[in-house]
Amino acid sequence: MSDEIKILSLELQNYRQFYGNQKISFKSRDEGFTVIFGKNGEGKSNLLNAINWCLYKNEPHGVGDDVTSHISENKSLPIINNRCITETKEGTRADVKIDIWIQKGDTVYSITRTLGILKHRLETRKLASGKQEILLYDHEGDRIPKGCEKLGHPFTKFVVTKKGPKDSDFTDTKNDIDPVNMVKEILPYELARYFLLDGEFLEGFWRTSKSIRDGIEQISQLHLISGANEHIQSLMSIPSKGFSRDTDELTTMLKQYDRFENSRDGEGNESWTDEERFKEDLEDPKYYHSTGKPRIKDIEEDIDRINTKLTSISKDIRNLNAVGMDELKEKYSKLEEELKKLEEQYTDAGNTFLYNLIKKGPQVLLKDAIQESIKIIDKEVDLGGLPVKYKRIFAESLLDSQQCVCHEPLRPNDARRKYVEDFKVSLVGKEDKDEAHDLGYVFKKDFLNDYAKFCKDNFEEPRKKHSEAKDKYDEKDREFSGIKTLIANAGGDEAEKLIDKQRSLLERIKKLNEWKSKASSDLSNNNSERGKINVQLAKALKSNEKAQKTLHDLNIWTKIGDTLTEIYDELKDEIREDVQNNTWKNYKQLLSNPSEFISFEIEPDYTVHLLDKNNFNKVRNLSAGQSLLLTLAFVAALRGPTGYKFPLVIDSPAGKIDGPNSHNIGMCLPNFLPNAQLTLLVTNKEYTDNISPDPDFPNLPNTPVCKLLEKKIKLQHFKIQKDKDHQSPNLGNSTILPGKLEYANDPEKGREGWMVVAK
Amino acid sequence: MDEKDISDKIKKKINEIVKDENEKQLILELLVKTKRYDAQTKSLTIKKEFQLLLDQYFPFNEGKNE
Repeated sequence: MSDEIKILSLELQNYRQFYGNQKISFKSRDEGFTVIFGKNGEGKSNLLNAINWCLYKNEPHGVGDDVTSHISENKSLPIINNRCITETKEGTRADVKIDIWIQKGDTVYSITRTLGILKHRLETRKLASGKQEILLYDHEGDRIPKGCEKLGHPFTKFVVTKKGPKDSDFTDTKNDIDPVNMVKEILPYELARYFLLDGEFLEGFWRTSKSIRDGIEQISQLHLISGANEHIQSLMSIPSKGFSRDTDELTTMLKQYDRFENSRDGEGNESWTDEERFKEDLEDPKYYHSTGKPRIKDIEEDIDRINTKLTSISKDIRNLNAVGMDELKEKYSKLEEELKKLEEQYTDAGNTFLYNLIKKGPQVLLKDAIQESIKIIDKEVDLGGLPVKYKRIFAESLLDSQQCVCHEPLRPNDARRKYVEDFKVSLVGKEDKDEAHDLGYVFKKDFLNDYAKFCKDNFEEPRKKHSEAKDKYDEKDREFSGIKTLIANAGGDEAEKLIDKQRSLLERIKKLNEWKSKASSDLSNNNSERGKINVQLAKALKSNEKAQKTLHDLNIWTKIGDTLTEIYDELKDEIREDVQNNTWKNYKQLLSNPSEFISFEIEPDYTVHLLDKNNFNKVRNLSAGQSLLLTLAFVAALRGPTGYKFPLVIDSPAGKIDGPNSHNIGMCLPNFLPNAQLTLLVTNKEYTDNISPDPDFPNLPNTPVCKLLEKKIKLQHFKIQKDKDHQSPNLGNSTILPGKLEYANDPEKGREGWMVVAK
Repeated sequence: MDEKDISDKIKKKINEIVKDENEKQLILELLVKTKRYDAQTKSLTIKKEFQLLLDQYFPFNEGKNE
């Protein structure tokens, strides 16, 4: 796990705009950074796609537009190079192939994905200009020219070979493990977005808590603990039937509770409602699950996505142009911030109240029974029967000292010693009763001794706080609605539509929060009922001789499940706090103006608070540059406590960053993640151009990022050069060449300043 | 089993919390197994593999388990 992982090389054959065979060898960190330079549209991001396609058969960059649209450069290109497929004779085959060499510890892996394409007759259409355009179609996610056929095995294949330190040659891993699983072990797909960093992903990173949760849970492997526990729960819940009618009935009941928890119908299929989900995309899920965890997850996802949409609507409202609107927009922004804060307060207060009702409410209902139980426990304690652990300690101390309290000897051969030993053995398995004693103590201390205080602290005060917070929120919300009406009136149709949309989304979030509370409370009740049935089942199984094995398994799984929960809870808090503190430390180093923010917190539910000087949470309203820097800080922070040493490939690290922060990136990046292999995909604007001046930083030097980096670290350059003979968007070819930094001084040709040129 | 697949942090925490050697090994193996499963893994396979591990580390001996 702690082995350093680095990419050694990337070889492309006829992939998108890369004609023929082309190769990039990457430097390890002690040899410096690898910098791949290319202008927009020359194929830089397709290198990131090539790595993704080879490892995971996925091309995240530029995916999404349909085949008939040629807006996006990446998707308008077929996966096979146009020149290659045009030159291929009809009835013959052409291959697209990507080969990535990766080193993990002492072992080198070669990962190769090949796509064989048989060419028939290419289908084209005539454009208004008279040019012929090759038509494309999608085949299992790969974009292929029409008139071509995707071949199966052995022409299309995925092969992983490896060579360990003691091996003389590479061997195919398929006999030991499926190649997909092999890659999963080297660089898991779920984590790819945290080391193959795409500019768009970096920018939108903080809009939802999903990226934070996945990053922390998956990179630190917390998901394995919760995953293993889920498997255990499913094992525990289906004890074999057929022991007795009682256990059969209880098992049937348990299955119902499980089905409720996992939103399944009587036949075990997923159970859905007909309530429609919030949809932004055609591929978004259509309906909500009926019950349990899946339903809560659906609702949380929708709340996240609606919040993202609301952020973009707010931005649009702030960008509206209309006379006399400035003052309104200023009020709008201020009220929006205040409202968010109040909403958090009243949601927190509501959650506390609800939590207390669910967790502590039953205590009130069972007060008489608890009092009665404690009387019985106290009586047992008075008689010396409890706590059992003291009796065990007492027996052990007698045996250790080899002397009884009456001063009779208890040496190994003494007859009396046997009595004490038997007494000690008779206590085995009875220490469970001590839990009742401990619980009784807690109930007395926190509940019965001051019942009025218990009710006040857990119900009266939280309810009061909740209703106060809600009143404040409602008052501010009315004020906010007034401002929105004024904006809608002043800004015409566009403003009215935006405000209406915002209003309906806010209503929807409110409704979803109510659904979430209800689903959580239903799930909690379901689990509590299941717990009771589990206890009854354990009793019933115990009295049935045939069921001893099932009971044995059930007991072990219960114990393992509890231990996993304990490990998960402790680790989650430790890791979350580590990542939080390191992100904040890294961010302050990367920012040009760190005093703009005062604190950074990741809450237990992974919501993030980045407070500015006025105590407003700015995390959803960061500029593109601030968001990108915070993501870099977070990704760096993930490496420390989680121990996962992945390489980083960053597309456009300073693409949307202002002058002062670009300067900071240039100064800080060489010290960033000191042992990580780092590859940068850059354009001239962010790398070789002089840093733009900033009125707030009049003394900022205009030294380009490339020169700032070069002062501190060795740089290996590659230049992506577009073939000038093929300028058509459908036929552009690029070549990857070794490059170097060079200063050009030819203002007449518009070439002045630093640039990366082919060697 | 390849314990190397599990992070040092998790292993350290397991050592800290779990004292019984069999329980410790069982938990580690369960995590390694879970790491290899994906969405396509059938639940029956998971159940069988988990049960085999349980039987290996905590075998049922009639009359001697409680």
